[in-house]
Amino acid sequence: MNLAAETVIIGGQTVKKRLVVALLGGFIFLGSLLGLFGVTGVAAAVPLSGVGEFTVKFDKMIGKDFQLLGGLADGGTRQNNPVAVNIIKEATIYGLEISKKITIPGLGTIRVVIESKDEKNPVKIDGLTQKATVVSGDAVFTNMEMKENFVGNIENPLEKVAKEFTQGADTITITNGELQTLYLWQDRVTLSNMKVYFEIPDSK
Amino acid sequence: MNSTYSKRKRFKNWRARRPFLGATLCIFSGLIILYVPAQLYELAATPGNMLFVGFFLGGLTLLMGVLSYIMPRLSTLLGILAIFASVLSIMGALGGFLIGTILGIIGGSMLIAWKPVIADNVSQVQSNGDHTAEKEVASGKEVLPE
Repeated sequence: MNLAAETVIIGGQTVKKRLVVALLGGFIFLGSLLGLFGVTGVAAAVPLSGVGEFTVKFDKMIGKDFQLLGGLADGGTRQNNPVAVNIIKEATIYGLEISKKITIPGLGTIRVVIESKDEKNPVKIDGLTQKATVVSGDAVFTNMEMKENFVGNIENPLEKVAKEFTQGADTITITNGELQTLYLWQDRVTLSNMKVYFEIPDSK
Repeated sequence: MNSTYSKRKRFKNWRARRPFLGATLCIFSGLIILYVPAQLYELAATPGNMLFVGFFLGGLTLLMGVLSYIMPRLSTLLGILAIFASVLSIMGALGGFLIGTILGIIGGSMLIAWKPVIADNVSQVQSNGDHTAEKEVASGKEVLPE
C-alpha cells in the first residue's frame, strides 16, 4: 500500500501585520499618484457625459475660436434635451469647480467635487466641446458673429437644430460662470493642484 | 429545513477556505470602477480615448476578485494586482468616483493578508489488491495472503 500526500486548504486567517502593511502600501501608492497629478497636472483626455447633469463653475474663462450651435443631448433622466453646444479651440479657466450629485444605494446622495483653483497655473484645455442646458455669467466677445441659416431642405432634426442658428467669436471671456452641463469633452486638459472630494449635500 | 441548513453549512465551509471578504470587496470595487466607463461606452471606440483604460483596469480588478474565489492559494499575487489596477483606474474611470479605488485597496490588502491553513490530505493507494493488513486489523487474527 502506498500513501500519496497532497495539501489541501482547510481554512484561512487574516494576518494583521500583513493587512496593515498592504493597506499602508496601497494608500501610499494612491497618495503618490494623486500627488504626482498635483505637481505635474493631469494630462489626459477626460470625457464626462451620460452620468447625468453636472455643474461647472469658474471665476474666469478665456477662450479662443468660440463657436455656439444648437443641439440635443441625452441626460441621465431625460432624453433629447435642447442644449447649447459650445466649441472652444483653446480655453484657460481660473477657479474651476466641477460637481455632480450621485445617489449610491445604501449611502444616499453625495456630491463629488473636482476642483482646480490654482491662481498661477490655471486649467488649460485644448479642444473643448461642451453641451449645456443653462449658461450664466458675464460674457465679453470679440468679433462676434450671429446668424440664422436656411435649413428648409435638411430633414435630420438634429442637423437642422445645429445649423439653424450659429454664433461665433474670435475670443470669449466669461466671468463668474455657471453652467449646467450634459456633456463635456476635452482633447487635452491640464488640471494643476487638482482636488477631488466628496460632501453630503444636505449637510450644507 | 435540513437542506437549507446543510446548504448554509456548505457555504460556510466553502467561505472559510478562501479569502471571501477580500475577494467580494474586489468584485464590488471592479463593478463601481466599471460603472463610469460603462455609462460612456459609445465613446470607448474613439481613437486615443482613455475610456478603454478604464474598462481594462475595472475589469482587471473584478477578475482578481473572481479568481481569488477560484484560486485562493494565489491570493497574495491577486491582491497586489487588484490594488495596482484599482489605484491606476483613477485614470480613465476616475477610480469609480474614488470609491472603487478605496474598496479595491481594502479588498486587495485583505487578499494579501489572507493566509491559508494547509493540511496534508493522505490518500491511500492500494497496490495489487493486497488487503492483508486491513483484514488482520479487522479480524484481530493473523491472515495469510490469498
